[in-house]
Amino acid sequence: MFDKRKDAKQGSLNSNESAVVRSEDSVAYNTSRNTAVIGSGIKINGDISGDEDLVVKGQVDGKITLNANKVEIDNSANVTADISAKEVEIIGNVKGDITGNEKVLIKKSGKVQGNIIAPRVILEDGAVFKGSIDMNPVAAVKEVPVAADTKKAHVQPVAKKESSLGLN
Amino acid sequence: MSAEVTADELLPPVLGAWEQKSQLLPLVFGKLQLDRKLTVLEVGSASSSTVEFFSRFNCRLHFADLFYSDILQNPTKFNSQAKLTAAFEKAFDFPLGTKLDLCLFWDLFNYLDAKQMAAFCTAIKPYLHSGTQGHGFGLRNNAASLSNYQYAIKSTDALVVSQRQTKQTTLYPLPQGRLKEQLSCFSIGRGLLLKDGRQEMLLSSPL
Repeated sequence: MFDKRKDAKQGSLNSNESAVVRSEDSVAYNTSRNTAVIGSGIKINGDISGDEDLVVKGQVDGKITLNANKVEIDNSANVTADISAKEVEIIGNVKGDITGNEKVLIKKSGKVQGNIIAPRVILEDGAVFKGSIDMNPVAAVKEVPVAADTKKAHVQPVAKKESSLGLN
Repeated sequence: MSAEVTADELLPPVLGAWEQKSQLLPLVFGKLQLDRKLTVLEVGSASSSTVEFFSRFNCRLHFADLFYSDILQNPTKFNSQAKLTAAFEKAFDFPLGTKLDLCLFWDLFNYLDAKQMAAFCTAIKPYLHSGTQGHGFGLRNNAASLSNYQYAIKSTDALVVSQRQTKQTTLYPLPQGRLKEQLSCFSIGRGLLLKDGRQEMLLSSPL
């Protein structure tokens, strides 16, 4: 989970303090697992990694790597980032390449421009997608080890590294 | 990844569709080696039906919506054959080494003039192999009209058809003889006349 003081120092986090919360505080994301939420008023410019589920309601420019967890891009979100997660669900806008170790779901309001790699990809009616989809329904799900020092989701600032995303 | 247009500029497909049975599509799949990874090109917009259908295969699906590209929507933008070819290459945006097993062209060839057809063939040729198969619709004759439909695959013998949301571009209807001359990158195999004036066609690489 985000350490707010640490985030303020490391990332370009334009936040009010209450915008980044645990799922236990949020009725909308009531899950048994820990879920970090990037609120709609938050803009993150940097890399995100860790071992909690993540809901993005705000703006992320960078890279999201949560290989053992679920990432949800909410309706209000605007994400320009490559995303790698166990499961990715997109309701909002994403510009970037997406890797889902188990599944990628683009909901009817989702808009994605990028390439997707996942054993299973679901595109709902009304969803907008431009790019390529690499699917293998029989691929074994690989357990991705999580490094000891990334036991909590954290933001790594890469404020001057937008060009490294390959999103020209 | 591709960056021809932003996701915001893309139009969602129209909801509400109907099924069209295909007698030739099963023949296409009969010729594919389904036990290995398939590389598929669809020249229309990505649809839930097509993605769901191919989700049962080990495959890579490339969506290049040529119908919504500047090639068809703003053809005067390309004042040379080289620029036209480059526009097709950019729309395809294939990674190096891509070899297509199946190309789903739907109505595309009815909307390409001779120069566009030549540029299309130049752009796609490097990505074909001797076993590349294709499926599309031509027109019975050059007086035939064509509804502004978009397509998706539902099963190996059925398509899902719906009204295309983007404006219909200029038609260049060609009888099969003329189409064979212009479409140098594919051989036209079996054809089947449909009652609405279209001709369903099997295509294969001439390599």
